[in-house]
Amino acid sequence: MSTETLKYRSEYKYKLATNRLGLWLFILSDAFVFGGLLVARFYLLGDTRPELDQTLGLIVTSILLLSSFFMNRAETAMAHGDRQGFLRGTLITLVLGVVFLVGVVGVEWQIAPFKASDGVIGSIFYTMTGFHAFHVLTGVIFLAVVYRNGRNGHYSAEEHWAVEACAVYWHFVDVVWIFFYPALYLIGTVAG
Amino acid sequence: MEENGKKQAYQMGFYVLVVLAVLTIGEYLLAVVGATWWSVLIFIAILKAYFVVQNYMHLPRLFESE
Amino acid sequence: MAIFSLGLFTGLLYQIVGTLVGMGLVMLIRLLMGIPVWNPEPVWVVGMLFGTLAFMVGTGSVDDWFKWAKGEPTTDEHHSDPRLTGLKKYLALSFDHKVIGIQYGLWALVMITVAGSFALTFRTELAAPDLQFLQPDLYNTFMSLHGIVMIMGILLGVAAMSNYLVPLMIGASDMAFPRLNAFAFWLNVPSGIILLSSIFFGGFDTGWTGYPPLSDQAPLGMQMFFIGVYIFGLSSILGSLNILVTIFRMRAPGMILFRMPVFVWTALATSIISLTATQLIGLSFQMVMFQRLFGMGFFRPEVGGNVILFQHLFWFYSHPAVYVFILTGLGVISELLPVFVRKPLFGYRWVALSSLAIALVGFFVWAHHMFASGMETYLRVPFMFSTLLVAVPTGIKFFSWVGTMWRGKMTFQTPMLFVLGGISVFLLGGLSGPPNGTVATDLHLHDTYWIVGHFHATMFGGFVFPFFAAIYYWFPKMTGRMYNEKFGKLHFWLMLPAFYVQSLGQMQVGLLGMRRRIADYDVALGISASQMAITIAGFVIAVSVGIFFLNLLDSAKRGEVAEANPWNSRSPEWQLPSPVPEHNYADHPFEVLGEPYDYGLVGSVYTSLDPVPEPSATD
Repeated sequence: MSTETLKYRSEYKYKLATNRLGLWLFILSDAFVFGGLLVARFYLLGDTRPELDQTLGLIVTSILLLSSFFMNRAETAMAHGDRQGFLRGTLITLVLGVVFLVGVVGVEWQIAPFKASDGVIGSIFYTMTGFHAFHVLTGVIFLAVVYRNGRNGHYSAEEHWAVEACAVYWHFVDVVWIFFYPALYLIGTVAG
Repeated sequence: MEENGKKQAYQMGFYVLVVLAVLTIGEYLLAVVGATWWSVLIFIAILKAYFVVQNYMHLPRLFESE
Repeated sequence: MAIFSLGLFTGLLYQIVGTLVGMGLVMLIRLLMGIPVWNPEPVWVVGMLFGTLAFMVGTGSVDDWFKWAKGEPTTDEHHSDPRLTGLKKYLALSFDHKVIGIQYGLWALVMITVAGSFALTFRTELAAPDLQFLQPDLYNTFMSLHGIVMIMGILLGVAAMSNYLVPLMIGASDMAFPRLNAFAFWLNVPSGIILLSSIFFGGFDTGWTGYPPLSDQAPLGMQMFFIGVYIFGLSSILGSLNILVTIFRMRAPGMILFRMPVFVWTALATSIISLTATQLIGLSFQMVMFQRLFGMGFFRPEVGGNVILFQHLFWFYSHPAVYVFILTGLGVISELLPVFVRKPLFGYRWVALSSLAIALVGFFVWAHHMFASGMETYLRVPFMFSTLLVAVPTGIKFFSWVGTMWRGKMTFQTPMLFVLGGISVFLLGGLSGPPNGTVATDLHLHDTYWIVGHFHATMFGGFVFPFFAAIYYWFPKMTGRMYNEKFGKLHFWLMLPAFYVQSLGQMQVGLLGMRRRIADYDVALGISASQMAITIAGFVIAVSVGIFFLNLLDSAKRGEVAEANPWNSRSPEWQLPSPVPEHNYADHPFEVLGEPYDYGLVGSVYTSLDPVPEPSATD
């Protein structure tokens, strides 16, 4: 390879674009898990859906969407060199993520009128929300790591790949819920 | 200049949130009212996902040439 | 060097400790919850998962990522330890794609040997009617393990070739993500260990497909199967991600997609499959695991579940998976033929695109495994059509090979023998396909040994023979030494006829009534002589592979020193010294100037590394 190409390939911008492709391919792959779960939900439950608390569903959904808003704010702040804004946004996102987990695993799972071993309804509900919650949890851990490293000054407006990766992953977790929410709470009639 | 760019981006992020909120309330009301049609609810979900993927995840950045 | 400093051994040590920690944790939680402390299933499952995590930490392959999380700096410059010579190099952690490729290859050969040994064991039982020494439960476990371990071995072989060759063929100094590469490789070691451990947990009797409800009720060994395959799938996904990014981002200047060696095209197509479809087999296995662990009911009809769902999820991956196996092998065939025939690859662009077409169509055929399952009968029709359609892009490759060989100047060294043998065996396998893809005939052939004959022929023709061709072919590049040509030919001339006996025998006994997955058969079927022939053929194949191992082991140490390009190939890796220098093309400016397959065209060059051709050179 010519020396100019070697130099160009070792530049930050080139590696950033390479990392970006890697991240999106990972997300594409992960999307297939959730796609498979959606297929299973409609194959087994068809026109019926679990009996769930609609208010709670709307609340946790709103929290997650709000968290995406703050994640976007945090990433935007970092892209413009505003470290304080970035830290604030990241922390709020993290807190909202934890609140979501409390809402789903802490409350919804406890008040649901069926257990995991209660037939297909329980199986589908707990597996879908469980897989999603696992991704929220890993997202929260990612946020905590990025927050801490951000506080120690590791990111700049020009170089903040970890922040971008964290944000894209977090938004992906939100997009999954955008489909899981209607699939579990809204589409179909409550099973008898 | 930097501040202007940031403010614009913040504003865009806020508009997206408003759109998402409106769509979410819309689908909630549809379901509560009993109109649980697959097609409309799936369409709303796809719309919400589009806004997040386009404006928050910045998918177009993946296809930018350097 | 202290043996425990080698990645493999540190990993194993950590795995043992991690397993015990995981088991203890579950028992502690159960104690605090007030339920009986010992329940083998959750305790062992969590233990094995912890063991896997611990193994990965022990190898050192996650060290840099931990550093990033802690905000500590790491370097992108990786150099191998010069103290690691010979085999030791392959037992240690390395970020060099060539080392990792060979590690994959060695582990692949281990798995293939283990799987082959299982086959020899149960084939010995099947050689004559009546049960001689293998009781049905153990028979079922060996039969099931033969299937899944062989599949793992094949996928490891695919990874070996892709990892070693893709960066070299596109002019890159390594993969896009070297640390991810090492991580993805090392996952396969605990995966294989856990899978094989199933023997000690009561085995499992479902065959490699693990269908519920039988897998719901099978012994604890079933869980080891699920965990082992799940981890293996994770490795597959991460490895294919790396290959895709490497192909899209790391090609040398001038290497447009249609100037890449054709093997890279097949690596691209297979990586698309592995990246996406693998998740669904993982999901299907997790669902059965949750049934067993949490009492869930995805596939329990009595609570609203449906076993057909498992089959849909399972085969959505498992069918495209076989295209991963054969696309790679067919890519090797397309890559090697021009070299040994001294002619361009006929229809290079068509061959490249046919790989993508096979991958695409391959996503839409899965339910041809389910014609007899009880799924909706109307589904049989579209899947029959799509299945027969896949023959078209496959046929393009066959016609390309014929066109390439036509009026070529053929030589018949060992790699070429395996290529030609592979083509003939794959043709047999391919021709035995349409009766399976056609519903009316499949309903009679399903679950008979005809199917076994079909897939062994496609596997051997589409992967095994090309894999041996590839190993012999690239052996001088990897080691700097030449293998023994006489023993290579002996390997081939033992394996080919033996395989024909085995495969045709399997097809015959299947048509005469031999069912799949049974430990014994009725002497009244009149197939005893064929069964004996199949078993003997299996042993002959085993002997031939033994010769292959001895050949490689001896040649690696004492083989004739090989020149840099003994095959006179135009592919970039052959323009480098053998063994390949650590950072590939770093010291050699590399640009693509022409077409890859213009063999015989005087004055044509492919890359800037090519020696300038003399007008009088034989070509």
